Amino acid sequence: MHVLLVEDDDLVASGLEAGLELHHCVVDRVRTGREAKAALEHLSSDVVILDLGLPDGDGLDVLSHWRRQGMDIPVLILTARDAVQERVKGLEAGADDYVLKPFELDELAARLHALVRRAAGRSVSEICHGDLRMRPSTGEVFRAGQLVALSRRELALLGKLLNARGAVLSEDQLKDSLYGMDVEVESNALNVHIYHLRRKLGKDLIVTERGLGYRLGEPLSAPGVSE
Amino acid sequence: MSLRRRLLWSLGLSFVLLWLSVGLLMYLHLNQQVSKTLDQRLASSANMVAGLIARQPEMLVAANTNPLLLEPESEGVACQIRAANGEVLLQTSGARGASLSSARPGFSSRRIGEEEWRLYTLNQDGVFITTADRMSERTMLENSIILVMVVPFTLALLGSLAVLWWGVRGGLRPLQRLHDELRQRDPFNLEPVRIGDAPSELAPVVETLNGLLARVERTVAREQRFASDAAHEFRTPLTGIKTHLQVAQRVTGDKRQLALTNAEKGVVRLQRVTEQLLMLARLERGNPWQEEKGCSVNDILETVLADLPDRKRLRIENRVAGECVDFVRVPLTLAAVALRNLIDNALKYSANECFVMIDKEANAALGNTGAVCFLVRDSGGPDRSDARLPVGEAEAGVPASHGLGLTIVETITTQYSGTLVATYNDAGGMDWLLRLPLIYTP
Repeated sequence: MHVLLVEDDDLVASGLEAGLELHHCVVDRVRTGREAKAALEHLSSDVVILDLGLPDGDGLDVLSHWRRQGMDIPVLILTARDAVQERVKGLEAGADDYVLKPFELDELAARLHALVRRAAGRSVSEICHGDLRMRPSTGEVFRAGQLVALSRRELALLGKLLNARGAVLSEDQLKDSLYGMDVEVESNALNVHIYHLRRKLGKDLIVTERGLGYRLGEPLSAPGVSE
Repeated sequence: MSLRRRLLWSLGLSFVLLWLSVGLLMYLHLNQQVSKTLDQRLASSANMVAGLIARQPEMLVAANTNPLLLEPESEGVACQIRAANGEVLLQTSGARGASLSSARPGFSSRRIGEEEWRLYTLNQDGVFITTADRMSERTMLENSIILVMVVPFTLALLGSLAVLWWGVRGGLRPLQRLHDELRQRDPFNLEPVRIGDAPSELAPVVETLNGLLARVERTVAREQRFASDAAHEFRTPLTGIKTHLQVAQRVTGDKRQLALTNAEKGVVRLQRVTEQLLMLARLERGNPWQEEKGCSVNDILETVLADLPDRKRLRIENRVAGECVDFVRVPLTLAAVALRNLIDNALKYSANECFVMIDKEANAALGNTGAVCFLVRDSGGPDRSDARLPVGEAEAGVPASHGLGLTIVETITTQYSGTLVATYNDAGGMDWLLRLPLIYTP
């Protein structure tokens, strides 16, 4: 899961980055509202964590800008403003969730996963694709009931493809999910991760659409979800 | 009782009492005058009869055969002429004529039958001439005169009371509007009171009230901002500490060490926020630095720069450097905290170096001694060119929103008659002008 973190405070941001990486998230961090607007135009993030007190203005203005632009990416407001009217204002401006500082890291990660899950149209936490099951909150993947060990990048890649539900994703979109915007990626890095995923989970799991990108292959058994 | 009712009652009662007193006096005086006039009429009648007798004495001789000259049954004056021996020489008819006998010279009153009479007797060369009229007639005449007086008097009184009611009601209408406006007002409504055109007496009240409401509104807004800022400044380092500690629990080695180091940084920040808050509380509840004397500009600078971590990003121009005798009328601790907070704020919001200029100026608002000005200029950051800054200019140049540090600066300037003005500069940053009054100038 790729998270765009909009937070001006270095101390909080570094803690969030470190903590969310432990929850199998790839985090890109920006400091200002202007950077946030620019980032979301180029990045393919799954969810945004938005601080309200930004150095160049109110985070709600940034959120309103995104919603006016038709961006329906899930946004979680993370702020120290605890007044009820502030929460109402935030949710009415288009936020999907509102978390007060300080917070529990596990709870925040769970909320982020829930936001992404709901945005993908799923009502349960486990993603199933035939006999493949993935638990994004714990980073566990099962194939035919057997636990399969995946690296952080492979998990992020699989999660992105599963959430896309068969839609074709470009290489750039997949790279954003894996590395974020600050990491220089070698040209074949994505192919390496796709190769490993096919090797561990089946060669038909990921289909290459030449010139377009990649999509999830047909499930080997009937698709569905389980509790 | 309402002011209008009280005014109406007091003015109305005063009016009625005054008018009734005047009316009573007029009535008594008029009554007296009418009696006097009627008495004069009796005396004149007697004198007229006496004049006739003097010119025609034979009238008295002829009278013995027919003494009736006049018969005033229901009105008019009765008359009797008697000789010195009491013999009636001439009189008006009826029993009343006979009843006038033995009247003493001058005015007198007498009951004849069922009626009260007024008599006047004149002694004319041994002949007594008595004239008389009924008191009932006199009373009727008096009543007629009084009635003529009372009707317009009563109408005027009622008219005056109506005019008084109308005048008081109209005159107090702005007060009534103010009353209605305040009575219907929600206790949390801090909008200015509007009652239309207020009279000159009421205008200062409305202005003062609106000024007070505006101050309350500013105070409430400031308190809300302060609470919000304080919550933000407390929760941010607390969040950092908590997050890094949670990370430290789950990682090992260098990552764990890094998380703990970051958590420690959060603790230091939290400590500083706590100290700022404590200082603010002390300032607002007694100010323990009150006993300290003023300090020199150089002392302030030295104290501020002593432990400033980002000193190399600060450029200082001290135009009063050679004038060490300039003593600022603020204790060193507080003056240094004020300047330090401004510099910290500038460094925080400045991508490049910050500039501090110190100068003196004559400022009538700060007393005859003038003031020393600390201009703290930040250059803004690359991401602030189109920014809505966290500070702004409110009325009178007071910052609209800021954190604890600037709240402390504001409190210090307020307590020591200084000023703090924030303006945007050309570089996209902010200029903070702190003026502190001087004790004296050489």
